[in-house]
Amino acid sequence: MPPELEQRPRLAPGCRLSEMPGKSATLMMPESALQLKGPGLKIIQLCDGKRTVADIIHILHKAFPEAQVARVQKDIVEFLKTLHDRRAVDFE
Amino acid sequence: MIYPLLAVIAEVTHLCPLHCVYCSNPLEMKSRKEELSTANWLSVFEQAGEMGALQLDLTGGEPLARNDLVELVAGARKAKLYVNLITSGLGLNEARLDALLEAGLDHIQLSFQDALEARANEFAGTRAHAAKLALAALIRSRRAAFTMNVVVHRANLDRLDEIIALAEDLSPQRLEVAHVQYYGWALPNREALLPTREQLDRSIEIVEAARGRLKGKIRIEFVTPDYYGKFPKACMGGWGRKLMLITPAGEALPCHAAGVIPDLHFDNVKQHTLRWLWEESPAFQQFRGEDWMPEPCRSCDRRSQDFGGCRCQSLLLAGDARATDPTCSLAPARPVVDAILGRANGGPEIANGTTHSEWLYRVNPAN
Repeated sequence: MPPELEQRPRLAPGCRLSEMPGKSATLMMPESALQLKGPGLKIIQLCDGKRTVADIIHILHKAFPEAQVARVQKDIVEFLKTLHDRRAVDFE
Repeated sequence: MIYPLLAVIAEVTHLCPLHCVYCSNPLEMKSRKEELSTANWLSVFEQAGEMGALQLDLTGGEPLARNDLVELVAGARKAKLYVNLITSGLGLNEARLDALLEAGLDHIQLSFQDALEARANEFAGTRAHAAKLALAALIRSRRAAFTMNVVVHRANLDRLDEIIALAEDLSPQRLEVAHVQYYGWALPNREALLPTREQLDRSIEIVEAARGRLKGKIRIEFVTPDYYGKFPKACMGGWGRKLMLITPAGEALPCHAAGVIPDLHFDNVKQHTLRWLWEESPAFQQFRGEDWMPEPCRSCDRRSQDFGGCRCQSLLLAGDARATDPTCSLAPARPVVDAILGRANGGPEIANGTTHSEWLYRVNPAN
């Protein structure tokens, strides 16, 4: 299910971001890995269990001010839902 | 063309407290005396990390049978690998689990054999089920990634609903429901393990329904039996394309079962660098790419998807490692598979309600 705005996304156990110089950032998961860049990477970096979904939307909107906030919100909520379905993100 | 090495499967020992009737280990196993040292393994992990590999599977046998497992995990993490432990759980307790997690273990895959204790113990050849239940609860009490793995077959498929209910109780993040693949110890037990088509179809329905119901709670991975497929599996993602398996004694293999192929020599990490083994060793070159392919693979549109299937299976079923995988509907040797399926679907019901007395159990290597 999609997250509520006040929920705090956090990388699930066994999921961690690998960022090495000279290599693309990779979300490491059991039996799989996902290369990340741009907004996707930014969102994952913010999934720290402290920031709420609303906080993340706010931060991304500031980083990409040319995008409409409704669009930013929709994209982030969908991205987080996809990761939640893959059991890569918990909503706390 | 050299492909990037993505993951290393480290069979760190062939010792195991379980004797599963479908174990993928070869029938001839490596003894403890032949096993690589801690330093050997740490060097392998370091080289794998330098080559850009992402994942390490620590498996066996039972990897917990190695006293240096915590050290191996720490070394693998230091080499920037994502560390999976593929385990029966036997040999794990609270202190050891915490030490492994402290060392950086990323993910634990714990095997179960059935939802019903007596049958689970029968398939494992030992009384392991109760200990596994306790361990699952222990793992869940930590913030650790946990996959429950269940190998399914003719003699437990009719309890797939119960197996999934057990998973809901144990609440792993992932559940792997894997139909037996017929290599190693599973091959001599095939008659008792191969499901009927009806069982297979039902298992697909059950898994689909469970996937919907458990979405966001448990992610379900499902491995179907290739004998029933129309096209073969892309075994290991293609020969020498993604994965390298290292035996307890240090031989580098392109696949778990590659040892069955006669005249294939496997070079050893004790004598060669991982990079040489991956890029140049004859075993990895043997079936890499498409040059080795016979017809109908050579001109088939699917050759870049399934790579002609599994070389070991071609050897085991068609007697020729170069043949098209006999599970392919286009393979000249497909009648071999059809005959096996005919027997599995036409014969009397076996081994479902009652104990099957003729299992060939996996044994441990001699010293």
